[in-house]
Amino acid sequence: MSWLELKGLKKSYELEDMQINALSDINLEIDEGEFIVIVGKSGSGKTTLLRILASLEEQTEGSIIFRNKVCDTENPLPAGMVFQEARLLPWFSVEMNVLFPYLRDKNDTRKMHQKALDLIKMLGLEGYENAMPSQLSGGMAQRVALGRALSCDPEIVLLDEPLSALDYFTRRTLQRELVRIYLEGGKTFMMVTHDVGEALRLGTRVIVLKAGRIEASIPIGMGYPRVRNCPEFQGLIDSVLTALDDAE
Amino acid sequence: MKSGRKGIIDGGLIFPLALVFMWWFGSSAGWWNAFLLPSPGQVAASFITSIQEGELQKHVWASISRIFCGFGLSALLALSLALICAWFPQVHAQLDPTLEFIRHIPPMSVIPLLILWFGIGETPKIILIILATFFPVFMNAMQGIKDCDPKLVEVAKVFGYKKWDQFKFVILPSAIPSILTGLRLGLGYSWRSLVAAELVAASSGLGYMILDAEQLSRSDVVFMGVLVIGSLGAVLDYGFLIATRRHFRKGIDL
Repeated sequence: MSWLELKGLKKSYELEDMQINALSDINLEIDEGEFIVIVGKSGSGKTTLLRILASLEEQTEGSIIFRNKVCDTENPLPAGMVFQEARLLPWFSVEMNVLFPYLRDKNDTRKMHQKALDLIKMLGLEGYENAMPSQLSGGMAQRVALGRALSCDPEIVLLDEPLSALDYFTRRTLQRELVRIYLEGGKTFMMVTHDVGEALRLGTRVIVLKAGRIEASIPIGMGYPRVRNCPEFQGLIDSVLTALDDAE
Repeated sequence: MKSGRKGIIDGGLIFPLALVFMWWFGSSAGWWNAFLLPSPGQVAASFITSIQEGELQKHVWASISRIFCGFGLSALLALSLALICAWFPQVHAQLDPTLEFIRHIPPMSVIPLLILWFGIGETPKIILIILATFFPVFMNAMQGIKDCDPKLVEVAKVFGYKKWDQFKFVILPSAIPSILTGLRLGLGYSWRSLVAAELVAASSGLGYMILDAEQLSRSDVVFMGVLVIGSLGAVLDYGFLIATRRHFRKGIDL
């Protein structure tokens, strides 16, 4: 039995008289500590899959089995999520945003103070603990969002195109940061992107999604950091692009 | 000296000072009848006399007590109802047509009924202030709650926040600017309705003082009353703004 298993996941929407299948027959086995990157074109169901895992939507059919237990609304997958936009709460400081998963319980908040400071330091935001979200750049805000997702010590970190709204240089920096955090933290990551280069730079496995179905599952045997202009990397780009092209 | 000049310019005092100067100059030059528009000196003199006799303090206290009581009750009612309506949309759906009906009734039009039902004591005056201030507070609070970004609510959901915690930590803080705008508007409306409230057989209050002065043809006292209402309203509004800015976090745009 694998660490996390998606079994026959299906999600369909009713649109007027039409039924739209956003996801069909998704079967996926994920091992602890993997960095899964899901690539696909717009409308391929990448975000829907992540939203189901984050309990923001419910699947129409199928099940999510985590450590041999079926996840449901009462027993959700212990996940932290980073969205495409940072979605920081503008009335809280950086530190309070990182502590957001614990704010419900004042005792927790006090206990977690040091952890929040450590995370802020790890994310390179030392000195910005008391800054407000409006005072941060896009890249800094996204780092805080990552800190928030990590602070609740999730089993899996879900990332929904977290770098797509950033400029090229900030994006490259954050890609390196993500790899560092992944390697240091030993957590399982699942990220959605439409950037094939990014997927291959970050992931240990790339899942190609096409019209709601898994088209290919490509393991990346390369270590970090990855160099783009080597034959192995180029070969992987070709494999992913072929899978995506086949999807047309 | 320089900072004083800067304060006058930045504080927006040029226009009112120019108006007072024009008023003083026109009065001194005899451009108009002093009965229709008394000079600043006459108004200042009646202001000082009224303070010396303790009349102004009595009327200001009576008015402010009514405002605090009426506006306080109104804010309490409006915010409580907004919370109930936000939490139970079906309650809001049932109340909405009735509230819309009441909202369009000018509070002044129910003065005769209020006297008939509650007599000529404080109750009808307080109710009139409540009627005038309830809707800006209620509607702004509702709008603020409705306008909460659903993406922020999703963040709370992802981290396991139940409905009440989503409301407490995300929806309510995001509605605070709108709620405070409603409270400020309501506070302004309470001053507007005050004169009408004090028309209801009052024997004290700034509205009463103005009406009494009208009957005695004391236009200087009428002017003084109007200026005191305007100044008190502005001071209360400024105080409210400062207090809320201090109390709420700097991330909330007030």
